[in-house]
Amino acid sequence: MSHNITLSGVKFNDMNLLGNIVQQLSNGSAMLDMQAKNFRTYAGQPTGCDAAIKMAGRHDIGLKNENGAYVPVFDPYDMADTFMCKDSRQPIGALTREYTLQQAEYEAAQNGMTTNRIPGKNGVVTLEVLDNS
Amino acid sequence: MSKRVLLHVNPNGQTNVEAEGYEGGTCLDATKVFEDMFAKTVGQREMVGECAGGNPDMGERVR
Repeated sequence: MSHNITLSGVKFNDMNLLGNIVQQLSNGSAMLDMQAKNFRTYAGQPTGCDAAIKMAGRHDIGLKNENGAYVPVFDPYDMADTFMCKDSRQPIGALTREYTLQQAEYEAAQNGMTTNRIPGKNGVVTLEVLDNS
Repeated sequence: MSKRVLLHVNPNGQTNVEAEGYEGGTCLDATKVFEDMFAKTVGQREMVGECAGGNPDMGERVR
């Protein structure tokens, strides 16, 4: 049976960055809608949300606000694989990974550090951060 | 002293942390590195992984 899942371990708190990454990874086919109150999902599933990533396919990614950070909710069935991590088969793994990487790269740069991405197994990317101060 | 931190970013939203070059080289040092430098970035994400010579319950991994 198809059902919504919540990635409780993922919290987005920089929505400008998230919107930019959605555009980048989808080549413009998906977009972040901060005004959305409903998202498209499998029939009969709850559709309420506080924002949403509008997808090109039949299902969207809902975002629920929990204490100022947004948690993704979606039904992977029949959802476009735009943000799928192909190595780990996680339906929005490429999105959550890229968000974390870009946030870390930004903060490292703000602190005068240099970074380097190292691809690993099963979709893991290691960010090497060097502090030479 | 040059310091090196490795963030192993998992597609499921979890991030493992390794820290090198910090005094003591314990898991607690890695926790402090994590909190000081990357709390905003990954502080809300669960840290998992092995821990060498420290408290495994903390979930950090330190070289």
